[in-house]
Amino acid sequence: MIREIRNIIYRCRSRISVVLASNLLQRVIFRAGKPRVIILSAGALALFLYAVPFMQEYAAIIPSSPQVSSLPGAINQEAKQNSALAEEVALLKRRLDSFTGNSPYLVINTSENTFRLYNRRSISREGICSTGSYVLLRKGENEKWLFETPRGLFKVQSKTRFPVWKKPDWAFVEEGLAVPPADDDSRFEYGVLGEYALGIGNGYLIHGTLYQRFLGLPVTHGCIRMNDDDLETVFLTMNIGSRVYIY
Amino acid sequence: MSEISHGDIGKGRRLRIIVRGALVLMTLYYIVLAIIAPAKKLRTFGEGVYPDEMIVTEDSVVSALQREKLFLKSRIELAGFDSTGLSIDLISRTIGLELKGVMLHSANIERTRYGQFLNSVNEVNYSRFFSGTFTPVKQHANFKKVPIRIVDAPRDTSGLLPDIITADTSSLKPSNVYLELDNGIVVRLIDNDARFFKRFAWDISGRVVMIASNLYHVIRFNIPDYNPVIKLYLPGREIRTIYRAIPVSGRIAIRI
Repeated sequence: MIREIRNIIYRCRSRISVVLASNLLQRVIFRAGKPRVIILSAGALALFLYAVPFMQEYAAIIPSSPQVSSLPGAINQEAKQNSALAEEVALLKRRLDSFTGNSPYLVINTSENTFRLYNRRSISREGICSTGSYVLLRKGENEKWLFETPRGLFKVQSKTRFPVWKKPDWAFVEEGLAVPPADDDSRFEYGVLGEYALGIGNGYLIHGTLYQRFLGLPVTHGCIRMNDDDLETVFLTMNIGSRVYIY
Repeated sequence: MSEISHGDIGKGRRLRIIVRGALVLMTLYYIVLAIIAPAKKLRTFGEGVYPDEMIVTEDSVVSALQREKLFLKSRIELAGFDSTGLSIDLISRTIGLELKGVMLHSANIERTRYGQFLNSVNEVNYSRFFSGTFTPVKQHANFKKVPIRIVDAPRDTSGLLPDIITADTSSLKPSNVYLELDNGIVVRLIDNDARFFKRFAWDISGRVVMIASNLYHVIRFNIPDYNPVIKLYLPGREIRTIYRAIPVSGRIAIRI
């Protein structure tokens, strides 16, 4: 019953607020009794909000900006040769282009949970993945873990087939279990990371998952999860030292 | 009952006239100072710093090449930083995330708007405003930059996890971003998917903040700061991706 009433109130809320606002407006207008006041207020608002910024733009007072010829370092000549300038631009373009290189690299978008694999400067594969959930897990006042995928440039540091997951402390805390000693058998889980794993440092991996339905969603503890086919392609294309860009 | 004398009426009227006169004078004073502000900006920005080489020309091709050169130099500078940077190219209408010179993400700008001030700026002032990279000195958005969810163990973790997890990126709420750069230019990323009224409300809020800042200077008898605004209209999901990817003190390169 209460839920129904709440639903009705929720549905009517926007209509009620519109009615109240229009009533208030009517009262203000009639009580003021002077449309001149209202027109003046509206005019003042329009002046401050729009007219002054407009005047600022158009009185941009460009003529008062320093004349090019009067500045030190300025070359006051008709024009430099177009070709020379174009050559300079082409050189800069080539320099910028050289940063990309021909070697394969992986780009991960943590906001949309997608990846693109590049090889010889073109996209060789793209798809969905899963990245950090941005959950801040707290246990008491002192222990906390933020499940975030780090952003920046990383390099593949290791490649493993049939990886074994060594569960960190947070995995036990998250499940409400007591944290076992460092090399306890209960820390090792087989088959949960898929067939391949690529390490990018600080314990972060690119690996497979049993939870394929969550791909495309931010659900991981910081690692990057992919489906089996994508992971295999990435594993076979990327080498030790290959670049992984995460943004 | 006391009688109201003619003198009292006269006083009241005089007071009203004085108040109205003061308001009109204050408004005029505000307008004059606000109009002077862009000139002050041009005069003071990059004072004493001159580009190595300037090409004075009426030729639009040379001018375009000159601007492209500046932009490429800025992007090369951007590649020198360890964090993701933003490149905004209003000529090709693209906005991109770059890291170490590699374009990670690129999106089309659906609509752009910038005032006459930037449109008619001459080559010297253009190079003063746009050579190099810039960092935001003020920034805010109407969505979280880091969408952290706090989970307390074991209270929140003892139950079963929900099967349906909604991605923050699938949100339909409008996403707008305000970036004030250290060169004084304001870049506003506006959600082009949002309804007109929501975009309008965001625009008005920005204008009100600007008026408040101007009034603060005017009351102190100072010329207010003038910040040329570049408005970029993009899909909301692109805005969220871009805003979250660039660090708080990220670098930005612009070409107009």
